[in-house]
Amino acid sequence: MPRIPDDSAAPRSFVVPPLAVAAPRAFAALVTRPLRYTLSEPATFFGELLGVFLLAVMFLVIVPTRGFAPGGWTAAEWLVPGLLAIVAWHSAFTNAAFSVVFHRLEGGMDDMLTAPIPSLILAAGWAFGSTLNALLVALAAGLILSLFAPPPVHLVAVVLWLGVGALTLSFAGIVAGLYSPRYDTVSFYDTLFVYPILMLSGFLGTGAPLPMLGRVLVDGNPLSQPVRALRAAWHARPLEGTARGEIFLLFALAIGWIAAWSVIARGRQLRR
Amino acid sequence: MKTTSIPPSPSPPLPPPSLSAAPEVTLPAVLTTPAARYNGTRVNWRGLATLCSRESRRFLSIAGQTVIGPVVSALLFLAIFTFALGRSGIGPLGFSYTAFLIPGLVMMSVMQNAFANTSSSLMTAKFQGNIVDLLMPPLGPAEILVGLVTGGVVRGLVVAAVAFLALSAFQPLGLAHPLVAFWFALMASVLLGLLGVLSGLWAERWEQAAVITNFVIVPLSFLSGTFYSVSSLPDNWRWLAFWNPFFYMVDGFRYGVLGVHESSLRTGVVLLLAANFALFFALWLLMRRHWRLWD
Repeated sequence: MPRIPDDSAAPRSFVVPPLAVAAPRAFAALVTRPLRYTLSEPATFFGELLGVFLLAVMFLVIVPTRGFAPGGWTAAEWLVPGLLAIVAWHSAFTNAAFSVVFHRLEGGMDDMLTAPIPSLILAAGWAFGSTLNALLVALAAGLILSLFAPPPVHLVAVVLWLGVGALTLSFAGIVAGLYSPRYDTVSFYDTLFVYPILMLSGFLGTGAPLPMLGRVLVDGNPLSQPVRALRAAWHARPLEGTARGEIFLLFALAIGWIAAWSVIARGRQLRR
Repeated sequence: MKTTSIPPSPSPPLPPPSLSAAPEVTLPAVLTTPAARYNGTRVNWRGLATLCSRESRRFLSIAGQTVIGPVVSALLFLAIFTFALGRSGIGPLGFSYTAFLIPGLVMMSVMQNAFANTSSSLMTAKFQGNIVDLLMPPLGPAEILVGLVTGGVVRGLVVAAVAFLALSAFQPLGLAHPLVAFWFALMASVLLGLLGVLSGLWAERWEQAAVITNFVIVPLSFLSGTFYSVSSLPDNWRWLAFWNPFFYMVDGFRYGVLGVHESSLRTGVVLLLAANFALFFALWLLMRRHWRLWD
């Protein structure tokens, strides 16, 4: 008589692990996924680096910047930290936004939603993954930019500023990705909102020579103070108004966190 | 008694259908076009016009992203280069830096948008599976190419016009040689539109298309003399600019706007015409073989 297999016990892989086990595992998987993707598609990564190199060559070598020294800074001292910041932060935004919109449009979002992952972990995993990827971009870009400027004096502070800024932009990217019905829409948000905010963050110059509207846009920019703080940490030079950078950025971070988490927790825009 | 069975007589074969008896059906001209076209006698004008119209309406329906976005980018470049760097007085070629920069920024927008239009159109069709809508109609490879590139050209010229008007608000500029400016804008958008088609054909994933943009289009655009005069380059680096075809587009367009140029205009005209013809022919050959289209 054939023996009927005992299927009362589910296979090991079907056992839903307890939250204490699943949550860290899911978080680790989500955090490392952008890095794994970057390493598997190095062409995109190197493309970003080439862009950084070209911008540095453009601003520091080709376009004559002799005499450009706001507040006694040299052009390289002024530009390099800001350039690194906007490249890393922009990378964080696009990575988070395109990751979310890709999963929504290609159906991978179902895998996320059916897995035993709390929405808190989902939001944090996405954001920290994009942040880690942005720091990798920053590390490589920093090596390239070290051709033009001395290395940072307070490395930990520089990494912290870059990380906190990237985390803020990652949360903004998650929200943008959730509210994008198409890939084009992410580009729309990027071109009309994120790119102008980054470009007018004072990475290239102060707002002083600008007309009134330009000064308002630069000084009221939530990223202008963090850029100044990063620059001060890089060269270990005091900069007036640096302390406000923390307030601005922490405020933006809190708003971004609440926005991203609340949208995911409510399941809004997650499925099409 | 011997009986013989008479085999049933086979039914007489049916006469072949008389073609003359069939009712005459007159096909519409558009359906008879392919055969005629492959004989090299006709062009499917209606199909071509439809494709051109579709490619143009495709980007106009999302003008906020495809027209306004690039103009905002150009304005940002103008702002950070001119105001933030605190430039004033006489710049390259005897003009203010703002005046020098504007034609270059306009041409950079033309190039990037003409490329983006054709490459994104083809890739979206390939990846979403509706490439059959392009391949099934009675359109030959040359007609498909012309249709796709027309969309890129229209987008490039529309963006050029809007960007020029927007940038001129900061530095009033006229057109020293309008026809020359139009010619170079046209040639640039055709060339970049064709490059976009090549990118769209080659790329099998979005990442591959980004590779072309990051490693070819952006470096050539940045090093095209948009932001600087070639005379400001060191002597031993100047040859690099003259080997960059994008430089001739920017320089020719700048001549059309400002009336000054740094290279031979004749070289620019001949080079761009030759590049366009060569690329069109190469793409025509590839599309005839449906290279990477069916996958």
